[in-house]
Amino acid sequence: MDTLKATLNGTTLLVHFAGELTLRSSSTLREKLQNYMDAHTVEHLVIDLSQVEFIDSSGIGMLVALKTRLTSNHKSLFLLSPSPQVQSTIALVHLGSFFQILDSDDDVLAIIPD
Amino acid sequence: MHTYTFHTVAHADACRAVTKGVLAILHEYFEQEDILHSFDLLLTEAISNCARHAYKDMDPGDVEIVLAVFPGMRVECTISDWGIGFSKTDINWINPTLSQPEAEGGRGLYIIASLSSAFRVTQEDGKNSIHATLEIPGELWTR
Repeated sequence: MDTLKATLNGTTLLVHFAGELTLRSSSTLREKLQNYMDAHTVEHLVIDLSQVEFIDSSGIGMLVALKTRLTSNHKSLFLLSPSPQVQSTIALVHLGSFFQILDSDDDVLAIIPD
Repeated sequence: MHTYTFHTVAHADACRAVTKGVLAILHEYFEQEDILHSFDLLLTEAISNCARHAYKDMDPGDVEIVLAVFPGMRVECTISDWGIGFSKTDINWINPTLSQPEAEGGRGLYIIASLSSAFRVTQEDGKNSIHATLEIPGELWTR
């Protein structure tokens, strides 16, 4: 079962998602995050992917769309601690350098001042 | 050779459920997580492709998944639908390439081809099929 927990610290939205990012779940997650970001001032979106057991091209496309939208508004998307399965799929589609990937909570604190 | 056939409907909710059923069979042949993940991703992409495109503007129709397992050698996966057929204009079905990094879609077929040792698509009598073969070294088989 997929679970979503979001915490807003200043202008940094930290999202913990556990489960699978697939055709079934990606559009729902994207809609929830976009609605939240429309209603709040969010400069940095950090998505914790450490508990994502599986991601497919729909999930990858959702992350790409979020990053594109944030970047066009001079905001940032960070992926936090992607699971081995997520890392494998990101590498397979050659997006390892497209996304900004953080390895730990300390990296989040170091990069995002608030 | 061992043959397994699965049927489902081309709907987003069904993609993962049937893939997990197929993986339960494959787990009898392989234990390595990276091999099982490759099958998981390949089958999910192929079945999701049917859910997204095969029955566009139609009621979701059937999807058939056939596994032909050649123990110690390879697994041949055939994923078929009876929908509108493959686009002949905007997709390279022989050698799929990646879209631009900023593109939201266009990665599914590339993933399937990348994970396969051999890959092709066929259309015959209204049946549209993706054929993907995965060669697995003999020492990695458990059955």
